[in-house]
Amino acid sequence: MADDRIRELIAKGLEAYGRGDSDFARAAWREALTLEPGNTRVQDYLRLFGAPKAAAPTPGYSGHARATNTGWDDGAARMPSELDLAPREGLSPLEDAAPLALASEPVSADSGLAEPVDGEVESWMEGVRDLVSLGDYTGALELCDKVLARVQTHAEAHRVHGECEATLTQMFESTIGPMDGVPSVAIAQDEVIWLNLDHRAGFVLAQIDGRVSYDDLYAICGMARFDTAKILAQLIQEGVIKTA
Amino acid sequence: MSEPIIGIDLGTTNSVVAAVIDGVPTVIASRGGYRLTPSVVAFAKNGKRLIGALAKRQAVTNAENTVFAAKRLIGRKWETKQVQELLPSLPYRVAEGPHGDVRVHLADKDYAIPEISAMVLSELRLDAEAYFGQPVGKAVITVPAHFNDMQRQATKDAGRIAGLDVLRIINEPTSASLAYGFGKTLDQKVAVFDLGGGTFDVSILDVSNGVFEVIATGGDTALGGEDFDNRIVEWLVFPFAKENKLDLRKDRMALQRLKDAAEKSKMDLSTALETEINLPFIITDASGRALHLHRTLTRAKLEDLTSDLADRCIRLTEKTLAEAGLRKGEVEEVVLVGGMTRMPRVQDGVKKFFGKEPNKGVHPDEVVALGAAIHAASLVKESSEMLLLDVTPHSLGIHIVGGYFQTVIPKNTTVPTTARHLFTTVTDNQASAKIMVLQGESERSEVNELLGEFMLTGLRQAARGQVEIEVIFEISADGLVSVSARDTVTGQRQSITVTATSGLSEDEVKAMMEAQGDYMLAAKTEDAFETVRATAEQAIAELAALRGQFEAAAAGAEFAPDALRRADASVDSAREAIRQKDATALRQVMEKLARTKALFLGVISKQGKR
Repeated sequence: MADDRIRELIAKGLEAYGRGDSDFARAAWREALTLEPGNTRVQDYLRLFGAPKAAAPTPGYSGHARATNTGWDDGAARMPSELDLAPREGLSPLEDAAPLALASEPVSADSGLAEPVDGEVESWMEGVRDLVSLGDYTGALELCDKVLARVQTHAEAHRVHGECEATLTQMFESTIGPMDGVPSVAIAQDEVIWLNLDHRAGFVLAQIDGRVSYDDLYAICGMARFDTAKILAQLIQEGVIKTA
Repeated sequence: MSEPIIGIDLGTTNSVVAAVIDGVPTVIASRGGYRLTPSVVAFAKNGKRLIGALAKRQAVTNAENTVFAAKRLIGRKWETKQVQELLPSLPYRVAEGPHGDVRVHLADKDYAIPEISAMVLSELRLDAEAYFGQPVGKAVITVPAHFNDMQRQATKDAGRIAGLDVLRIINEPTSASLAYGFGKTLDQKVAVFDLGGGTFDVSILDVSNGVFEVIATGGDTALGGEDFDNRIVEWLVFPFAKENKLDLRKDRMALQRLKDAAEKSKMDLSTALETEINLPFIITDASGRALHLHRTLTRAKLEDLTSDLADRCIRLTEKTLAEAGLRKGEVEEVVLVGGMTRMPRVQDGVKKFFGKEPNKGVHPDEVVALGAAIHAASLVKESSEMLLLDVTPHSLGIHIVGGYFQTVIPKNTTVPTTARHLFTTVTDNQASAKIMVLQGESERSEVNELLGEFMLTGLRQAARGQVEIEVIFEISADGLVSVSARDTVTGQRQSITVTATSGLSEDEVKAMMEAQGDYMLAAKTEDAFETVRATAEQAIAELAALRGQFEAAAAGAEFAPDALRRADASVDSAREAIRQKDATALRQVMEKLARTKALFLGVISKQGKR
């Protein structure tokens, strides 16, 4: 239960951070840290409020990626200089959490805002840059999607989106292994139904028959390489499939 | 080993390659291990060219870049009724080609239909070459009995583009009959009942002394296994829609899985009485909840769902038999062809209709390719008895007054052949005559296919009917048709040579051959690399497994560090060659790996003896 609550608080914090509500974000993450004081991801996010870049360790997938030599650091190094995290005006130094208030309705792509609000989009992009510098490419990608839903032609969002996808794809593929490997289903057919999959993962899983290579799966699944890689990596990590 | 010659059944839905090996007609499995290769070509969204089973598996999700049933379009002109009627049902883009032919637009390029068929043929050729371990360049290819000259020529061109010398094009029912060995028996009437994936063809043959005369053909080009599959899909979809308010057919991924599952369950029910259809996570509903589909299909239910389709086949058979002027009892053998004829309900229908057990001695999916392989082998065997004579598939003749067609060479005439016919002028003082050379079976000229035309001029002045013109048709052993017309009194003469065309110019065919050749070379290189890579990875794994034992066995020995260093260097070189996809370098390093393995085993073995 606590894990669920922490995840929820992290997500709400990111949501709030993305829309420029730093106070709410900070409060959410502080509460998460209260529930799990050693949560490094939350600690990293809290460092957004004033900590120097050098102090920010790379969370999430980065450790794994480094261990598997996927060029994660290269991906981060490709980020342009404006993404460098530096203390910014308007962000308070770390302080005691304010009482946590109920978040307003999350801002979504179809939140009813008819016209782009430059300031809001820019604050999301600030969040994108920060998340990239922290190595949270998944979070950055989600935020880019949000920006692009609002401003379809946002050049920087497109570029960062592509870079995040490329980096994440590399990471997923390091989990998958050689592309000519042939995966097979590692669990009994009647266990499949108990997995937590969506229909796209169900489709990919249905194509795995112990004869088709990963390379061919990319071709026959017809999804973007990023999506296929993400699903395959997830299936491997959960022990649903294995490479023969 | 002498150069192998293959027989190919280039089907609408599936294709099969076979050869006579040590006197036994044998189907050659694909490099992926499949005996049937779906006649499907696709360009995947990641740019990869897919042919066969893989292409079929993404046919629904990538419909606009997947070409299936190209055979329905091969050798046909854009403006023909058959093409125009097909257009609305094609999910891929087609357009009129520069010669009035049909072109398919795939991945930003236009392809001629023979080019698409050539991709399937190339795949079969590569499979055969992988099987024999040597180049394969000659083939016999089968076509439906009703194919006209253009369709046959286009099929031949497809073979050429695939780098094959097509020795002969033969009729599918003839090929099936050959596989059953009917060529060796005399005077038999054979019915070939061919229910494939997309088409139903029924042919009545008169087999006599190596001549297979197709007396009548019938069927339905839009009736096949896919219709049976679709009934199962509907049976799955409707209750699901009722329960969940979702039409699975509208989701491409769900539809692809439904079609795959329907085909599999149908095949299962040819031997089992019931089968489970289990499609977990088939779709996600509006609330984000993944839904599953699970149902049990019985053979009885499948028969109930598809009984009208099976009955339609029988009605078409009855009609074709009537056209052949035969009674059921006169048909001595009934041959089943096509995967759908494995369905018990279909077999029962055929048995009831003909009043005799159909011949099931040869696998129905493979029988046509096996017949083609038998014929291919007979063509190169010097002492071979002639199994099959080449015949004209359609009647040849000219257009005469009133819009009628006068046959000069009837269909099923063995070639080479020459035939002549006398005609007269139809008007007084007629100075010239237009000779229109046609092919077909209709008595009306406009229904038949125009092969060519020429004018015979300078006729002598005379009343109508007084000038006799002799028309001579000549078909060479290569299938070239020459037609000449001569005023029998003056000797005035004109002639034409009719060359069957597929709709492609010679230059186009050559350019396509070159492009396909490049692709095949790349594919062969890739295959060769994969073979050596698998061996190398096996060797690397073996060395890794032996390394610990070697270290223990050689502990303290002076040579040990150097041996280990060399072993590591060899493994590194092998891995680098794999990374670079360099088959030559990998072959070279394989020798080092083998020597290292021998050294390791030797030291370990000596240690064990101490």
